[in-house]
Amino acid sequence: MSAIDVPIREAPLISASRLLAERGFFGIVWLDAELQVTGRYGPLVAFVSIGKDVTETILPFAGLEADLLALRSDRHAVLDIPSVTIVTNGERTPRLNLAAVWSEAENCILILASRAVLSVDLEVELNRQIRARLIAEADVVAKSVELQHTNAELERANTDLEQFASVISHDLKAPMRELRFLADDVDAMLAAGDIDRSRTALAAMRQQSGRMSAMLSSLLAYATAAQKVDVLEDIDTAKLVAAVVNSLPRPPKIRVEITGDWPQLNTFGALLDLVLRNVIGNALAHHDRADGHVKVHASELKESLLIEVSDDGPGIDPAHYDAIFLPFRTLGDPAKGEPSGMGLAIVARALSTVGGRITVHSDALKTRGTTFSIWWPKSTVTIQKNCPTPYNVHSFSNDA
Amino acid sequence: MRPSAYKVMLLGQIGVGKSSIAQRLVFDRFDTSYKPTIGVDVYRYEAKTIEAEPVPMIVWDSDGNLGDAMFRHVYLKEASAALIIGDVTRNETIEAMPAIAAAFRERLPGRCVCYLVNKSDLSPPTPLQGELARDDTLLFHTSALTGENVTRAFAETARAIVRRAP
Ligand SMILES: Nc1nc2c(ncn2[C@@H]2O[C@H](COP(=O)(O)OP(=O)(O)OP(=O)(O)O)[C@@H](O)[C@H]2O)c(=O)[nH]1
Ligand SMILES: [Mg+2]
Repeated sequence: MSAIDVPIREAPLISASRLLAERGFFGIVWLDAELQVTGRYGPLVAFVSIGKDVTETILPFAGLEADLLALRSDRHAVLDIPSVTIVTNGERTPRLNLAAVWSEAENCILILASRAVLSVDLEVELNRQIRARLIAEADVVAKSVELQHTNAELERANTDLEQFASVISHDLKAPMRELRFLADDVDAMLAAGDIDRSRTALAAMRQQSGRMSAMLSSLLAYATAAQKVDVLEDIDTAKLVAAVVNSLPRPPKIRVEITGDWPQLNTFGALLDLVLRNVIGNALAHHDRADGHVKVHASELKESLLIEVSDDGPGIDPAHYDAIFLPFRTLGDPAKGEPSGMGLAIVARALSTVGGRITVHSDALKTRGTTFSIWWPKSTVTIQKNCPTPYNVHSFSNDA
Repeated sequence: MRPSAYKVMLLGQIGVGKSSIAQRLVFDRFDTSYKPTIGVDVYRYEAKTIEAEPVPMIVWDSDGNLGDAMFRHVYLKEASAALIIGDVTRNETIEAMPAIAAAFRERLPGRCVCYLVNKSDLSPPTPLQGELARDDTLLFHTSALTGENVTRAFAETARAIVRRAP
């Protein structure tokens, strides 16, 4: 006699199902027509809150409300979501296969949750080991490369830091010494009653202190680039770029041309100002000829404002692409009053905090000229200070 | 019907930090050990911005091993957005990002996409190369270890979702 011929008796069937559910092989959840949970059975679904919307307590069904409701009209359909783990308040459910079906007998939607079975777990375990090994191997290779890289990098960084420190301290010392001497001079002049010459000396003092504060500001600008993202303003980018260009020191025969579409944006004005100022300033400062042309062009893309700053200067060797964005990797000589090289580091840092980016196109070996392309996101949000806050769904109930 | 919460997928190759980003985002914690995700892990998160109402999200942290099978899977059903993640220390994972974005957009046209270049704590910000550099998609350098830009990337994604599906 084959198994199929055994007459089905309700009572043993129910008690067998009950046993399986109680042992955690599967669990059942009942929903009403509004998709609220009306009941559950079995420890496997102990995490489900009765009385809540199913989408709030069995998270993978969120967004699938329409599909759940459609089960009623297509009675053979199953909405199947295999192998999911729900994580709330730091606790994880076992890995579950979820299936939603319409129950004709009970005239409601049922969700069956079953534990992912053993053979799958074995496969998974095998998979886990293979994957972990793959990554570990790739890691070993990467780590050793990284280590060599880091050592070289560290050496370079140390020298850079020393250089930078010595440049800064040397450069700050010079105006400082000058200030001391000038102060002594003023003393002597005042004692001699020479008011006019002491005025000139005071003006020189002001100039020296201005120099010092400019050096300190560039250092500060780098350190605080990431903090300028707090204030959203309505910015007329056309006015902003014109103001930036006008305020930059520029050799008389270098022409700056602003073209393209410069829209009104609700954005971080101070940060955009900082980015434009440094990239355009960089183009002007690195120009090696008496007359030249710098073009600043904007075009509106779907998500971002693309700003291209092109110059006809000497160009950049592609081998230096990475270096120009690192702090203090100056290609000029700050001791001779050339730019410190901090500018592009500030720009890269600022852009990475707003979701924008910068790329450079130039090949000094082949031709003159450099173009920096900046993608500035058109939409930006301000983050509430106390984020991130975990959303409390509910705690796991220990009943059942 | 406006969904009770928006479904957001975390996609990207194995080991790029999808689960670590989710853990940092939702529980503000980080674990250095690697525990591969099997199937999907599902979290609830509420994106908070000053400008808009909090945006409830269901974050689907996917299995990097699913590869292309992901795009035929029920997991993607009704997703509102995808955050596509790469590991800055493994270039092949970064190069794979545009193709993942293209496959997602093909299955779900018009949904939001955001790139995350993760593990930024291991590498200073450097300019992007290749296809990614020319792509007009929101991009963040993130670190699940330090938390850099993690909340911001989800807030921007929330804003983009709400703008498209008011
Ligand atoms: N330093 C650093 N390590 C990270 C970061 N994010 C993730 N990791 C590490 O990278 C490894 C893999 O991270 P996971 O989050 O598990 O990667 P996944 O993308 O979820 O991988 P799959 O689940 O296999 O697809 C773990 O050892 C993490 O600790 C990061 O921002 N910085
Ligand atoms: Mg994972």
